[in-house]
Amino acid sequence: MKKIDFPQGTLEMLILRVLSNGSNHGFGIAQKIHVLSKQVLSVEEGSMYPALHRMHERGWIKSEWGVTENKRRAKYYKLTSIGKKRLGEERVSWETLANAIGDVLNASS
Amino acid sequence: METIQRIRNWFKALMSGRAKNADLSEEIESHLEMRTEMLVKEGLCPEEARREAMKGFGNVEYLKEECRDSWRVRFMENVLRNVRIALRRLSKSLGFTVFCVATLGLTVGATTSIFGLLDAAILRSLPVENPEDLRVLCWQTSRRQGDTSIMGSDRRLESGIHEAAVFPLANFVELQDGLEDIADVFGYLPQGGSIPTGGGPAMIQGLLVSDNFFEAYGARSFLGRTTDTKKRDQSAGLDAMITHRFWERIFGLDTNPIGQTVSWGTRLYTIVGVLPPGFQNPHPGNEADIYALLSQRKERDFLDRYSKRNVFAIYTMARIRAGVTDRLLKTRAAAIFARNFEFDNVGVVFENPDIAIKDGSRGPLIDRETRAKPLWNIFAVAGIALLVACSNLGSFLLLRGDSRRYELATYAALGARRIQLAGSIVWELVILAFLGGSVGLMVAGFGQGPLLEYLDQNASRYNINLGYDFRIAGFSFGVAAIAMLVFGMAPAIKASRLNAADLRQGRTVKSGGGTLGKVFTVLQFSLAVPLAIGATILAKSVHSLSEVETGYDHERTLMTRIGFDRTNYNSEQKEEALNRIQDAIARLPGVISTTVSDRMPLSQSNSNRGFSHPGVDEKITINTQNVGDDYFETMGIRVDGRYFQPTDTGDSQPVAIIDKRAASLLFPEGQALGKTCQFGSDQDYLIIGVCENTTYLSIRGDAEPTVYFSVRDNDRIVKRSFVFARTEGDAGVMRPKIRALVNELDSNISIRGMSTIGDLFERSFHRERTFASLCVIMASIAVLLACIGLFGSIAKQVSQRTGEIGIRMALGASAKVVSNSILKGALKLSLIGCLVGFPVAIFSGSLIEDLLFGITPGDPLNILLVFAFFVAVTLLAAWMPANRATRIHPSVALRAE
Repeated sequence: MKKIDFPQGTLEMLILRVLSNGSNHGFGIAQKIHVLSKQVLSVEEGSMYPALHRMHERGWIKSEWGVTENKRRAKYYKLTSIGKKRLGEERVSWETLANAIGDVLNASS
Repeated sequence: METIQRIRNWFKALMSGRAKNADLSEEIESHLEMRTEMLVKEGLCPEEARREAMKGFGNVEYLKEECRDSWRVRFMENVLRNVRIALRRLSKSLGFTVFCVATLGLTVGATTSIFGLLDAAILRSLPVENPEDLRVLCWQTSRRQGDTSIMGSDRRLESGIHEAAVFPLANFVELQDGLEDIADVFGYLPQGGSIPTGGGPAMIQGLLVSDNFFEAYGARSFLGRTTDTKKRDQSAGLDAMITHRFWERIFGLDTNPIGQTVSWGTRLYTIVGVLPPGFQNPHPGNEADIYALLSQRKERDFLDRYSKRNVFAIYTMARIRAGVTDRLLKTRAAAIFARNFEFDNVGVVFENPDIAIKDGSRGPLIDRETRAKPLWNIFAVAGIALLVACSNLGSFLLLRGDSRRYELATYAALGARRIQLAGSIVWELVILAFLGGSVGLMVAGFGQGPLLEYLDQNASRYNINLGYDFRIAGFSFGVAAIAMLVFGMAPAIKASRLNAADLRQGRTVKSGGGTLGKVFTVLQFSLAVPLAIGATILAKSVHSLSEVETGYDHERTLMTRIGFDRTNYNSEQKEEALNRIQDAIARLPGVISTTVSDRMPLSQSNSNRGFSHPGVDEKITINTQNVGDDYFETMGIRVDGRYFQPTDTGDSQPVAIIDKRAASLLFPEGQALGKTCQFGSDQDYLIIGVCENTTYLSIRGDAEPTVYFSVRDNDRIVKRSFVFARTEGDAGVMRPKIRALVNELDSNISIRGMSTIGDLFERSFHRERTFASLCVIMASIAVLLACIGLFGSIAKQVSQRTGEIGIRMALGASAKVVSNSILKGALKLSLIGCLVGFPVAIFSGSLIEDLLFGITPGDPLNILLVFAFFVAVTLLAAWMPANRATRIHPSVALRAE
């Protein structure tokens, strides 16, 4: 399976998207992206943490220590209201961009 | 809201830097474990699974660092953004900002400059190795009898005990030997002398030091060796060390000074070493540039002067050895000191002689303490002014907080937390404190030098390192920050209590109690009152001092002090030179008469004798002065009887002139003229004249009785020689003429000082004058600030009560009733301030009693005047807002509701 590099900034959008379904820890987020992308996208796990911390500093997400199903301690991240708003904005601009690129690529002329 | 969220995160990050790192490690570890667990489930062995997990994760340390970066970047961004927001807000109310920064900056600057002086003068330790091991030895006695000469700082403690830090040379040597096993005792003797320079002779301060001085004091040489070295060639000339500064000034830094000779005073010295830049000797305020050995001064007149056991001249310090207690040093030293008086020829008795051991890390402090007292006074005054300024700012910050209430309540309604609301005010305080501190530092930088000059005319003599250093900067910013946070916290706390419900009250601010604002106003008045009282009593004291009758002609008498230190004249030659100078001055056009004396009036130093006189029960202490023939004529002092005449030689009947105080003391039955008195000697002096009383010691001193002897009886005159000239007009114009004349007559004779009696008179209360004027300035600032504060708080009250006043006026209240009620409110505040302030003023006034003259702090007339003044300024400050209130139109008022 070929790994596809994320365009700049999309990792954050994907993390926001995953968290919009409920709080999760770093490992869970990576898994979720992998699964939701039908095994196409595979995050280099380590690189997710600087992104998470950046987002945390910006106030998009907040964190809390919790316990996993396997009774393991893990840090859970959760969207804030700012994060939710941000996801909406990112989504709109991404879709606009993707549609525009699609239009260009699919243009018949 | 994002901003405030960030402030919160920033606080968190600041609080828990280390905790956050641990948190990150744990987070990554838990991730790795989960991955490992998953891989194990997929069938890998645990070790392999762990390895695979690590590989998939990437470089852990690098990633951690990247996370930390994001915190740091955030931190800086947060700070910058918050600063930017606060700056924008402050720049929107530029007037307020400028007022705050100026008030804070000026008062912080004043306090900082004085702190700088204090720090340099008394607080800083000497720059030597282990200054904490240094001790100063002081002797103490409950009473001393006989002729003693104390050539150094001494003082009388409140308990009546006499204390001094100088010892007889012989006793100093005994202390050195006797305490050898517990301490290195070292000493020095300040000496002045002139050196030849391109531009004529220059006076250079120096210290004659003990052989072990530099080693014991803890200073090393920068170039060459110290004078301490025992290997010194005994046959060689006199050794000297010079300071780096002296090297630079006299030789230039590119010349090697070691081995060069320098003529200082009457001797030639060989330079053996240079002290490092920044060297400071232990003597406070002494900028000695040359250091020579006491033990090498063996010439007769030096030994004559210093070898006597009743001449106290050597400042004595010790570096104690490890484990030695002050108590041990004291006991041992006291026993050695007591022995000083066991010698037959001493002629002095010290009752209960004792030794006090003092901290020497800052040098002998007697001088420093005396010199620092006026500084502490001024520091206190500046501190009070600072407090007034702070409470003034406090009340304005409250007003500002109130005016931002609506805005902040909106934030609160949108979900901002308490700390976020407070934060938006705190950041402004931080910026104001920073700006105020910077201005303060600048003010201090510019103001310190002139302030020192102003406080002390001899300031250039003192080795005070002024300028910026981290202590000064720390003080300035520290004070500004504390001031802002303490006095500005109230609005921040108030802001943090806001909630959405406050929005409903609308834009017009309801009086939220306003108690704190009133407290600030009262505080300003209660602090301004002591300053005003201080300023008025000091101004009155200075006025009374300047009115004191000295008995001299101030403007037409010029005093010239002659220095023989660059000559090696013997007594006869000195006397002859002095006569020549006097004659030459007498021949100058415009000079009416001339005379000589061994004393200068108002110098705060005296020479006195204690003796018994038949017919008087108590022992008499009387000032003595040796004067030339025309002394009384020249000084304009009236004498009953006759003056000294050339026929009064050493061989004829000894004669004396006494002043009226001495006459009534010695001859209580009257008629002193023609009587005789021994004045403690073995000769009968015939009283040939009784003169008017003059001020001898200082203008505020209790006038002491004085006896005048003819210079022909006594050769003391050549040791301290003052030539006085009485002129037809202003004596000041004679200065350059006399200077040129003396130079022409004998270029080796130097003029050590020249002043009119008027100058001496002015100088004798210089300290009072400067302190009074500083007090007046500070008090004016404080009163002005208090008025501005009152004005602000009344204006706010009026605008808060617009509705109420409007309704009252609509219902028929007259303008007078309305304005009276406002004025009454203002008066109440200032009266409470005065009530608190007057007792404080009377108490603090008693602390500066030694500066006062002819008035007490509790002077009722003065208090009444100050009180009336405060009532007047209160009414003035409150009049404008009160007047505005009377013009409120009911319809406007109702709209405000």
